[in-house]
Amino acid sequence: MQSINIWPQEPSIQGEKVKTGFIFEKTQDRRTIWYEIPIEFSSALSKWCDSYVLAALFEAMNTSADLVIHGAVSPSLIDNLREFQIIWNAWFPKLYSPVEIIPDNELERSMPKHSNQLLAFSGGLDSCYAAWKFTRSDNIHLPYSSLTGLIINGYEFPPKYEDTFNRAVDKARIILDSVGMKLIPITTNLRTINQFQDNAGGAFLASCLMLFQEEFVSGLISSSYPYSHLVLPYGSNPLTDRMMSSQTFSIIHGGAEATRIEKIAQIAEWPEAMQYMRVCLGREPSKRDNNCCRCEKCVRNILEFRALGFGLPPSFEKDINIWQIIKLKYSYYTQLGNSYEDILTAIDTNHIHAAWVLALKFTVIKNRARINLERISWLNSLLRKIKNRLRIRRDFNA
Amino acid sequence: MHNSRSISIWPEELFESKGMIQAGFTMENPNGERVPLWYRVPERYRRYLTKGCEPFVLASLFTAMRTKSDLVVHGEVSPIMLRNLEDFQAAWSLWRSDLYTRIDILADIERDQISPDNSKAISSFSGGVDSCFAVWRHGHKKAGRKNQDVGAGLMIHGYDIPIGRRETFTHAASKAEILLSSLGMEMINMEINLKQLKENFAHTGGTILASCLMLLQGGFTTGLIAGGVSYSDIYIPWGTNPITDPLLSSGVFSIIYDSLDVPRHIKVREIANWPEARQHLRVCLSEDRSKRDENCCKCEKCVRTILNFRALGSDLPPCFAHDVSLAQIFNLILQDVMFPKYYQAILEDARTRKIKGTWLIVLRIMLFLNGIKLAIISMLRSKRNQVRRLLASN
Repeated sequence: MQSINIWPQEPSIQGEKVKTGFIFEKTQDRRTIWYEIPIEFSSALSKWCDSYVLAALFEAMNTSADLVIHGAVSPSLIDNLREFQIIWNAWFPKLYSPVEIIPDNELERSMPKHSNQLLAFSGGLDSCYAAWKFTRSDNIHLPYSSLTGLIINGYEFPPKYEDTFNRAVDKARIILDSVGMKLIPITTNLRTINQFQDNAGGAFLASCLMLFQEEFVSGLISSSYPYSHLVLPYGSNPLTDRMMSSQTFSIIHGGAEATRIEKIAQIAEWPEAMQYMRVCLGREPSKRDNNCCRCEKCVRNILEFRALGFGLPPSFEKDINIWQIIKLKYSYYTQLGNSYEDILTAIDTNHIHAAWVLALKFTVIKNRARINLERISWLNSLLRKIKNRLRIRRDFNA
Repeated sequence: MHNSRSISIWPEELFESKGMIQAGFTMENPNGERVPLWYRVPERYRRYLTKGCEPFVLASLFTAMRTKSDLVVHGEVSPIMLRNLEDFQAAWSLWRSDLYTRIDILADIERDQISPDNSKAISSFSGGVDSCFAVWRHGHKKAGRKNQDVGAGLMIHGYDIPIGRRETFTHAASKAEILLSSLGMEMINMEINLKQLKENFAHTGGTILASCLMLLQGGFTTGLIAGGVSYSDIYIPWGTNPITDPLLSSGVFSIIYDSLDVPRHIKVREIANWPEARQHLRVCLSEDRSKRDENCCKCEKCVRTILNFRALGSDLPPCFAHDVSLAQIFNLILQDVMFPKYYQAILEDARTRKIKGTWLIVLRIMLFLNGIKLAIISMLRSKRNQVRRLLASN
């Protein structure tokens, strides 16, 4: 069986930044994976390789290569990752197989004396809601003394878009400042080893969070989907996220108790979030520090605000028109379809009557029909063939 | 507080009677009605009984969520568990928003109990395929890094066998004792009257099991719930499941939904050579609950397990008094979309082992007919739900 070797690198200071990481070695492939953080947070960096195990795990499972770690790893993390791998193997038997994690040294870290918690914070709705929820004083039963945000460059878009990232950091900082939270910006090239990015999303976030385990006891990942519309398999989910925990650092999947509509309803009176929230998944990564007001996600968010009877929040520069609503096309029925059904329910609950509501109902019916038709595989393949034939004829005529 | 109504939990003193020690609590409902709820174990396990109220919180949780009443606990509760239960409630209140709402749990003291010196686990144990496989695997250290040092199996009277059926339970427990002692494990029998709360058992199964296991947190640090499904066919919402079961853990006692990595037909394959299991396995879900100490060889679960053994090329194990006929296979009625998967696995096992027989043809016909029926039912249900939603929105 082939193996992947992980060689941890000593942190190096580069100006006001500290760079740490590891060398990823698989047969002829040898590359440096790095994480760069501001120097003032360098004391939080862990000497353990737990974070690197999470970073390389999906690639190892995908290529059936054992992970050989030339450093210390928490045995409790290895134990949990065993179950984690079994689950992904059960979901995608052809894509992932369980591998061995073989560290030079299996050693549990000593129990930290503090209870600081880290939150993966993109500045979007889910993470804004998590920040809002976990900093409320009326939130009982939360044994955490303080919450800090972690914003990652290299997750949604490649690390080369540094200016875009810096502008996104400025916005995130204003949002978190207003609830007394600090923000740590981190840049990483971790994506270069995770090909199946959707599935590895949770492990990516957990890897970045766990890097800071010297000063934090847990890392919180905001849920994308609520329990009511749970999506399995999905990269970050309430079942497997917690299996990326060790005895001394827990990964918590938070916020699955609320749908997007409920999240908006709860944070609608938080002015900083309304001003600087960033949800865009526009085609141009360099512009994602602003909401484009054109992509499906921007349009959906604006509709969610409308469905609750709220005006256009200042984080969206311009409103959408009926034509944009009619044109909407979404692909995954179980995921996005449920969000649109939730919007329709909120519209009914709030007794909203307008032309755009009719347009939205038309769009939902249209997409529902299209997705149902796509489920009939033979019909789908027939349509594809007809489409291809027409395209060839058109090309030929041209 | 979230709600204007509340349910109070008053822990009761332990008391001994006829060699059994009784722990429990009084649940005081919003209308002032007081319901005594108890757990009884043999006197020799007194030292295992916890002083914390965590088991009582778990036992009352669904009633509180259903009646929109906050839980006021007059005792100690683990703060970690209270935090976990927020997520637990969130999940269930979204899965079944028609039945359950989130409530507050207010304890007089938020404190974890002292953990026992050992790190032993206790497994819920019914004597069926899932629980037999769980204890067998841990007992033989075949779970790799997930191995638990299982010290005992917990057999609960008042769970699948009604509390009134003492003889049935005694007979079933004697079988369980043989199974567990062959692995060097103790059998602890517990009587409960928690079903008196009359909640939907398909939802409360996990909290009842966790409540009983956690009552013994003075002697164990981990409670195993033997899973009935595997990761590839997780079924939600269901009383025990891998998403919410771990959320029933406290700071010193973990609840683990065990053996999800192994589908049922492989569990049968693994325990097929365990002589005590062949003799004393108890899988029956016969409608007559007084007869569940024996396998009826007629109910769907008995038939399925017999076919599991057949597909392995194994003789009929002695725990089944008689074999199934072709007519029994043909007449099987599968109630749920999950069931055809179990039979597909049997066919797969038979194909791998090159087993031949008329019964396999009959099984395929039965699966085909049930497949059509289930597809129609599923379509009608989906249409019914659409109409309901439409009516509700208008």
